Amino acid sequence: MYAYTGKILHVDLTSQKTHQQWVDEDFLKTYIGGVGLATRLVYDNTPAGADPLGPDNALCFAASAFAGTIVPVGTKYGVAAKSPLTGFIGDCLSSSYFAHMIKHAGYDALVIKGKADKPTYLFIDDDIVQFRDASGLWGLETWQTEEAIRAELGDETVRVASTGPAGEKLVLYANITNDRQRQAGRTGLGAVMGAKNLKAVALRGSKPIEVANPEELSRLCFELAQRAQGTATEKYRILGTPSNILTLNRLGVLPTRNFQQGVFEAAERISGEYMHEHYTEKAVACAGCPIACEQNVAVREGLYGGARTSIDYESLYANGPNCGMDYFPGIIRAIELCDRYGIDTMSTGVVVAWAMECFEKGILSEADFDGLEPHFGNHQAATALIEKIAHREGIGDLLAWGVKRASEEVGQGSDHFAMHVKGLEMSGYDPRGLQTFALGCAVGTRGPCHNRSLAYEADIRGEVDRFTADQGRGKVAKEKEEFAAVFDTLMLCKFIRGCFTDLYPEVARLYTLTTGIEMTAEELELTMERICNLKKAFNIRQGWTKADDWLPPRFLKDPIPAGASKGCVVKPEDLQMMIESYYEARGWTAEGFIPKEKLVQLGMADIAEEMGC
Amino acid sequence: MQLTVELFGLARRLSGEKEVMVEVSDEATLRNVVVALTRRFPTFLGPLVVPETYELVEPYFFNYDGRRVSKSLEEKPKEDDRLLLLFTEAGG
Repeated sequence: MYAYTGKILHVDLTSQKTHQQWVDEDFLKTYIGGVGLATRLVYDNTPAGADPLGPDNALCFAASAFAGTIVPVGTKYGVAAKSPLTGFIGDCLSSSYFAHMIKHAGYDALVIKGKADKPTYLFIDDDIVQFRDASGLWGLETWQTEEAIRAELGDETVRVASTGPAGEKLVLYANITNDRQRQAGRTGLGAVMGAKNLKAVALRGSKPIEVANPEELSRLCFELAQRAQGTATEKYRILGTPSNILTLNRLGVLPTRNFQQGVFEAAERISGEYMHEHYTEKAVACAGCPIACEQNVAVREGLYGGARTSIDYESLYANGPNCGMDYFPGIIRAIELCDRYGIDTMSTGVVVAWAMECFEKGILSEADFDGLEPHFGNHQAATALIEKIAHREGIGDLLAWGVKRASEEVGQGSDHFAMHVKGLEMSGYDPRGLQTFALGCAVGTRGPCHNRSLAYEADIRGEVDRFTADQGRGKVAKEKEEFAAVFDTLMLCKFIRGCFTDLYPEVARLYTLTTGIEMTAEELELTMERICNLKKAFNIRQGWTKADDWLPPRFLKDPIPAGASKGCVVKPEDLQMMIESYYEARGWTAEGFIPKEKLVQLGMADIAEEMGC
Repeated sequence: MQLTVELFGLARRLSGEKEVMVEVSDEATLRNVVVALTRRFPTFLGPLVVPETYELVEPYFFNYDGRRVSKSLEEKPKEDDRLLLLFTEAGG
């Protein structure tokens, strides 16, 4: 077996026992790796109705098939569990050295169940698994945790994925941080770690990773790396994704003040261009990446002098215009706090924006905020709220549940502007001016996500009319989901997508040369459809109904007030029609369930037996 | 005729301009607009524009005033059209 190890490590934190599961090439070809493999392992190891914060929820890490090889931007891992934020599949990914260390330690994936009786971290040292006392690490920030574990083990090469104080406090959108600045964000898997008393997973591996056809793979990878340093990725290398701020603002779909507007009057002052000129220190690459998109920024003086972190568009939108913030140092500090405490920057920004709107509408008062006055744009209040969320202090205890549950608790019509789908807070594209993406948000298995549904590309690039809906959008949304799944499963960074001429055959070829397992373009396409259906099957087993595929009221009732998307709204009848077209394109029933024969056709007969209708 | 072209991302960085006015013939196509832009900003050739064909490099494209995306560089813009030269992609 090449590239793969054929071995999955199962860890029970309750009993402190481990066992190894051997898997064959057929299984690995069926689910490949990354998010695909991690989701299958969650499906197999997390029962229906499991408490996401209970011991039965399996937290599954899966390396990519390419991790540790020379395939550019292929050193990533997927991690999945039942999300405490949504109650559905929480499938996340991250990059860099932790990913290939999973392989070097001898595993394709890790399945972690149970709950330790005290703070613990796992140290997987090739074939030896240690359950180490993490009492002294409890309360440490993510960056501190990595450093402390390396110091304790006396080895700077150990790679660590940890949760921060927010995960320990069960903030439902806590994330997992590895290699200091890489996060598996969204859906709250850091809280799953916290609930298990699992502070971190540390890896040290020494096993080689061999590929099937090194000569031909080297040739292809050299070409790909050259393309990845060319014009198709220049925007990422120079400005990073924050360059999207001005584009989306001009199109009138930049979420502003909790999605009340689509144009931010101060966009220039929080743009990627402005950031590059005033705050960027350097661009950093993940392991095995020729692009280097990560923009490391720092505030050199003033109120937030010394703040430093890395910034991408989604973090910037959520904590910038969506909170009405035009003071860049304040945004940097807000994102730095999220990263240190281990909370998802996107959910945090949307939660803070919801709290700000509650304050401005008089639903929550200054007394509710312990004396803070969180008007939109008040960066000091925003950063104070992030501190409170991470430690569940005062109003932070409410906000730590996410906007869905917080708005249910507060009531008074605040659900109208609780910007989430299935409990996951929105990403940074206003779907009212991007109608295909509106569909993608509504039907997304983990919630509204620009990373799982690339439907916004069809809207923005003019493949469809972004202002109108039609019955063809279901097929577009399906294809864009499966396109994204290629990158999330194989795994490859999506920033390289412009470097392929014909994605499916080229990636299938890379896979075959790496693993020695024959894969055709058609098989790869079918696999992506399988992965998308697998996530849906997991959701159905956890109680999904058609009502979960919908958008927040604001998108259906409040038109965008100004800009190039002025007047846009998602009409409920249009959304309903697009959802029906999506179910039809997927071969599902009108109620959105998966027919038994569909699951069988996709090679998941065992799941068909359990749940197919 | 005169057209305004708003520049985003790499185009803005290479030109140092947020928007520019270009003068083209009344029968000009968008490709002629690209040619006019490269005359003014020769640094566009290569990173942003294919020198041999004056095609825009992927993923750049023209949008009319934030409302409509051009389908082809053979389209003929109208006097006073406001063009955006932009791109967007995300998700790593």
